[in-house]
Amino acid sequence: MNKRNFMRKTKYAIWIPRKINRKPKGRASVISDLFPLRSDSNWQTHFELLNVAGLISGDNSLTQRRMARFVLFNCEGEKLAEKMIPIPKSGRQTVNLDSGFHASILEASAFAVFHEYSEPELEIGNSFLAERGYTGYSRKHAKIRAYVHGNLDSIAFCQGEIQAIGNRGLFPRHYTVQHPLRGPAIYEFYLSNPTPHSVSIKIQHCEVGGTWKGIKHFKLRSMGNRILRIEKKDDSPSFIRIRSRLYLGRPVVFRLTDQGFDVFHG
Amino acid sequence: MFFPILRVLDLEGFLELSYVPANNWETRESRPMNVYAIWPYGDFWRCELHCTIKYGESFRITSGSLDPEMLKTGICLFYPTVQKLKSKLNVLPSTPYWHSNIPEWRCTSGFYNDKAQTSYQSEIFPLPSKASMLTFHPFIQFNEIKNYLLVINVIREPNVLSHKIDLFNSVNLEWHGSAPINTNSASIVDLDSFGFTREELPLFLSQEMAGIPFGLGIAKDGSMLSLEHTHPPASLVLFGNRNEIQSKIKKIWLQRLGKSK
Repeated sequence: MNKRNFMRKTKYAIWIPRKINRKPKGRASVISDLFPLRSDSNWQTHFELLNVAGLISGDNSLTQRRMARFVLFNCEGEKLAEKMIPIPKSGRQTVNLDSGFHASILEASAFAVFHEYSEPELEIGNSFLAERGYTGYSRKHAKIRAYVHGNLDSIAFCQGEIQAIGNRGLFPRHYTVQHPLRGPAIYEFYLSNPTPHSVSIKIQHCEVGGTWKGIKHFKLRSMGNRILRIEKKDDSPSFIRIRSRLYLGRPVVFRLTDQGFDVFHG
Repeated sequence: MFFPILRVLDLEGFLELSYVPANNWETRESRPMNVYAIWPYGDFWRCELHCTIKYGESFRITSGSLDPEMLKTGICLFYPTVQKLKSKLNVLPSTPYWHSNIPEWRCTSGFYNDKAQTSYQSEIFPLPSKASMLTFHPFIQFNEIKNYLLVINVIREPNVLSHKIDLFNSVNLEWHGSAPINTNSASIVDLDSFGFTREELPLFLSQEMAGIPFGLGIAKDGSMLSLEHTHPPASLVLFGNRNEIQSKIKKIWLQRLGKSK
């Protein structure tokens, strides 16, 4: 084995062994993404609440009252509030996450949804029920929404305790957003930290054929989040990458133009 | 692995193909690649060298720039390879040259009109030629929007075969109708004609064909587009044997729906 191969395999061995997420501690845990919540004066956020336990069991008709626990977080990862919402009997309910939902919504920038169910009704072995569902975003007064599904399986809830289940590696690694930036547009990258630790994040930018340049450096607390805004004026493609110890530093991307916006996980 | 460009309805499609891996630790591939366009053509796949791409490069392909023949079924695949391919293939090539797992190596595919653009991070592996698909669609919108189900299917063989997808109310299992979907195609189903209400959760079932289902929303004035895929049943759980649970979920729903129709 030559030196280069040896180095490569050693690095691989250091980086690979762990999975993106750690198994939650409690067997009765339920899992949720940390969904981006945009509640400032320009945005509205909507969540499609479903009977996830019913979809797994093959019976979506509710015979008894079942609840989902919505938990709001601020950008430091601190829990602001929680609210129990009944699972809809009809199959689907669009929950509008606005000031009518909770008074603290303007301080919130992420939310999670934990479903209540009784364990014997689901035969899911060593698996855990997970809410990875659909969040719709709209500009204020717009009539239609753009939807994106959960991006990272971030946190678990069990008997009143919230656990961040994302993994981080021993060394920093790169995640390159799989979308070349093209303007004219404003890009907003929503990053969250699904690990139980603070993580240092370096954002780098590169024009095609150029070199990577650092443009931002900040720390994200556990379950914290941040939006990075980049204006791209021209149509030539360029890339963004995230250097951190996050196992998967994948952001949700909002691409804003004069006429509208697009949202996707990067 | 293939990267799709699509064209459906009156929307143009685009593909942003980038030779940039998502992470710096899974792959060391950096050789220049031939990028082939591949599309179904009767009993074989037609294959044409589109360009070569070097590490770090990126380019945008639009459906309008391609021969309409290449998008006859709504989908044309792009495949980066160090090999030279023949102009006719009996089956799709099976070696992925751009490959990663955390996450999958993806490009950006989407649609645009003169006012808006929508996209998703795309990659496609050929699906089994005999398989089923069960999914739920929670984001049909109402009022100023037209809603479509887009089903993308690619199998290794070039055949374009027609199957059907059934649409149900997931609570009372009422059958709302069925629509044709095809292999090696981007199939479109007009969801507004099936009468789902805003509180209902539609369930879609194809017993003969797998596919990647998307909800596609188009503002009636064209000012906005929305595209997102719906989840397979395995996404309702994490950890453990998710494949086994997916099979179990499908089996239960199939049994129940079989009785209801």
